Amino acid sequence: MDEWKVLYIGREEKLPGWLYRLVSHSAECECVDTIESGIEKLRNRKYDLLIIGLERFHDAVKQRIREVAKETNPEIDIIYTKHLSSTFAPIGFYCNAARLEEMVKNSRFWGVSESHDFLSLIEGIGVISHSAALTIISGDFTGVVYFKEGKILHAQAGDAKGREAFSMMLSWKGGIYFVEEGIEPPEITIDAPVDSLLLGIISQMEETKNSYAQFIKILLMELPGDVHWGAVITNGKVMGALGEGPKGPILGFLNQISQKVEWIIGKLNHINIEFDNCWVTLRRLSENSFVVVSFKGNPYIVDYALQKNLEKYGVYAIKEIEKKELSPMEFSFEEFEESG
Amino acid sequence: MPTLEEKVMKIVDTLGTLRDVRGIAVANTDGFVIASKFFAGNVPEEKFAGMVSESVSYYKKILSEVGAGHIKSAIVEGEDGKIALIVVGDFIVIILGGPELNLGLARSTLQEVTKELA
Repeated sequence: MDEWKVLYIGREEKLPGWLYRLVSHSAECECVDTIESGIEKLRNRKYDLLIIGLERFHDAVKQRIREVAKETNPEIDIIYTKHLSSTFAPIGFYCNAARLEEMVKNSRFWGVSESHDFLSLIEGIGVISHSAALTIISGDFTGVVYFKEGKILHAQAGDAKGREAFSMMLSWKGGIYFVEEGIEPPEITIDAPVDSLLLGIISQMEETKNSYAQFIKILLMELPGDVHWGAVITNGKVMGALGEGPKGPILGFLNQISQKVEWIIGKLNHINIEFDNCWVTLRRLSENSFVVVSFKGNPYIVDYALQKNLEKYGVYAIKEIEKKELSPMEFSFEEFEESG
Repeated sequence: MPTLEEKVMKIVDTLGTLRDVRGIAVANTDGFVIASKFFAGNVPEEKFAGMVSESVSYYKKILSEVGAGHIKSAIVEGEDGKIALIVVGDFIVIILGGPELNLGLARSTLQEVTKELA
């Protein structure tokens, strides 16, 4: 099989380690940092994958690059990347040009939102459209919202439908969107005016954030030793965090561990990890939630105090929060690392 | 001077004397299990070795991404069992125990017997 031919358009010095190795060790991977040289390359060679550094170009330029790429290979895969200086794999999104073409064919308008959420777009479509469907592709997720006369009638994202799907889509950041007019919803799962629905869900999301932040604050209260940060994970998602430090990789790591070991030792209750410079402890709060704390000090004393705080406030508080059935904030572990 | 194999087998034998130990594994940081011993018949050895290898890859990832330094040890408690592990040089020594395993004793014994591997 032939090697994949890859072209990266962006600044080479911003390439992360893995991508840099790919580019420098394979004759089939090339890197250019100007639009002209990128377009020239695309015209003269059939590439399988095009990677575009988002920090570099405006939307119009990116669209032109896309069009040229498609001329030579209509099936080309495209990845838009951000945060290339990060130690993580770059945050970005992926699309297949052939699919993109098919999806935008009948659309009135479409676009790429690089880092923002889709609130104002949803608000805008709600005002101007008689009947429309908004499709959003953000990373691996795809969702559709159906509008009619200022109301949202239906939303679907993966297996989720209705309000749940709509809340999920509101938490996505960055992606490609398409608006198709004159599309009727296949079913009605919401039926609420756009503005009041948005208001309700946003305040619910804020409440989630505040409830968890408050909860962590109580748990970390009066813990002996030097506490760096604390976080709550529910159903594998970070619901809230407090304090400073590199949370992302540690939380991701604990999450993976918790999923891997259950077959052998049953329901996970507690993990204690010793690093050179700190300790990280994880404790189960409820069926679905864990608290994670990073600290410096005597692990047994801190763990004992944390357990006491959990007995005193934790069990009740987490049940109260979970009772509200609040939708999780869709934080990724990487996002936490960056904001941390 | 004892060979690596002798050192590892001595570690496995010593840890095997702890109460409620179900299995012991010594792996290198590439994820290959060097030695293992299982006392309870219902532990699928290959699956456990797979978990050990996967854990090693997590450790490697975390080592490259966290400014907290190297992982030295970890203790994991579940409803039906416990895992205690220590990272010494290029080796990871893991004890799989039942609910009765004394984690304090397990950790101290791990630290003591793995000194020769450092």
